[in-house]
Amino acid sequence: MILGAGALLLAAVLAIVILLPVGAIKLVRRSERRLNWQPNDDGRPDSEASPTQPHEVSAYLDRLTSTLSLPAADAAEVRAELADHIADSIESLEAEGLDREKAIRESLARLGSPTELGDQIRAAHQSTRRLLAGAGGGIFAAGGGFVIGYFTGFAIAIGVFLLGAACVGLLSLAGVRLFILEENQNSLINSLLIPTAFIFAAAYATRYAVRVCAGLSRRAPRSVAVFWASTSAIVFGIWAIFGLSGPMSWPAVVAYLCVPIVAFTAAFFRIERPLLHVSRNAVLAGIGGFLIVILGAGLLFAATGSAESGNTTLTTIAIAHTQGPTRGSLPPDAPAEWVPQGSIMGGGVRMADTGGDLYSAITDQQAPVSMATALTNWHDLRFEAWHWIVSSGPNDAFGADTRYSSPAVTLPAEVHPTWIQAIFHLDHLRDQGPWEVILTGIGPDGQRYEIADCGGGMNTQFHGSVWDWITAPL
Amino acid sequence: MSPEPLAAERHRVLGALADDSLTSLAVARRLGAVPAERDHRLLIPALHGLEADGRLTANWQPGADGLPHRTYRKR
Repeated sequence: MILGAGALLLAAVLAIVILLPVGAIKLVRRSERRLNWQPNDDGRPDSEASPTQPHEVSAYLDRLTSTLSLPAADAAEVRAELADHIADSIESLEAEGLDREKAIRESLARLGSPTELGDQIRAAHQSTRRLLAGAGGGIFAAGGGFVIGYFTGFAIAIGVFLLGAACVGLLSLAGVRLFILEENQNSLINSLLIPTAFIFAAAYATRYAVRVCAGLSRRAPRSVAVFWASTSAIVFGIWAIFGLSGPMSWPAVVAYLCVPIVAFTAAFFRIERPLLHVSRNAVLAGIGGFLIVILGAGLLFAATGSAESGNTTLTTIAIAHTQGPTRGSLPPDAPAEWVPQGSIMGGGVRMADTGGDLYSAITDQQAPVSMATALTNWHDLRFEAWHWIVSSGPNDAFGADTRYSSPAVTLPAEVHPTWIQAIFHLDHLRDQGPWEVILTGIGPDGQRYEIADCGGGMNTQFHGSVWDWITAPL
Repeated sequence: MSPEPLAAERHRVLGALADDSLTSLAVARRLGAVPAERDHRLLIPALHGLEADGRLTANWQPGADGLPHRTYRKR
């Protein structure tokens, strides 16, 4: 049963990753034969190149063509056909005895106003059936273009990252250190990968949709571009701001906010020009290589991650320091006489199911007393998350970050018979970095004291959508 | 322009084509017997509309003069 579901899922993924882009590319190329037609592409005459065409006829055809608003191939075909029709008509009227000037005037008069005829021909070409085909084809092509753009963007982002890493490595060898890459570089790179891929995906989807829709519905690309630009900007904009959740940073937020702008612009920017195409084999080789990398990474992750799935204990890395931690604005330690020695211990655990961090304090397991007894002297108990400095060496400063005079987050303690707890979502804070969580309470003298240290020290990174980021507390 | 004259023209064009493969002017000549001074302003839109609807096929074929002409044929 599970195998069957897995096979179905794999088939669906393969269909999306391979068949959708291949189908979209075929549709785009078919449409581009209509959109980017050049004279004599398919053996039909080029009416504009005829030296014997009377001036009146050329002027008539120019006015008619300007009202057509059809793809280049259709407009050229209509012009060539009408030029042929008029030339034959003139010849026929001359054979009936009219002089050439009268024959030209009569032939053009029989066709009526060039703008009215152009409108009629355009209406004949742009039928409702073709419009529906264009809309359907545009949506399909947008799906394929999205997949192609996503892989392209991801590959470019990875390529830029590797290039940047190589440059940084070379500069480091030369003794140059780049300040911007010294802090949180992994978090920043992580947060930028998806928006970069998404920007390319939105742009490709929009351009594919415009080209295919124009070709199938027999409309000039710019006449359908307004619809696709608006639709793409709204759909991809909402998706980027509310629908995508992952590592977030200010550059990533800016990149995500660029998605609707890029999607809108992509519908118009040089849209008359053919899209860049790479060969089918190159696309398939790229997709195959990407799948192998993803599969390899997945297997590696499964092999290394399975042993430590579930909850993760949050503790500060133990380093033998030559000096004590800085306390900054932390509340003072509770006097020993108000806390039964060893009766309260703090700890933290990352909850795999909720994504939150559970911090708790328990009474001593060796000599259990009820939490109510242990905390007789205390009220207004709460857990506080403080910015923390984690040292990498025994001589480095560590402890509370002295730049902050108050905790970043405080949560009231949930009191249970033998433990108290609070669940933090530190990955929903824009301010990243290590944290330390302590249990505090108001003692008998009315002062707030630290009752227990619950640990922490883990580096956090914001996880959520752009909207979560914008609305998150500072 | 109201759609009725165009619909009527489409009907006449289909009747004029029979099973032949004709250029737009040849179609006009077949229809021209009705009014001598017949105008062609509905002819091309009717032909293109029938082609868009799948009732006709159109191809560029060399004529007697050796030049390519667009000819229409019933499906």
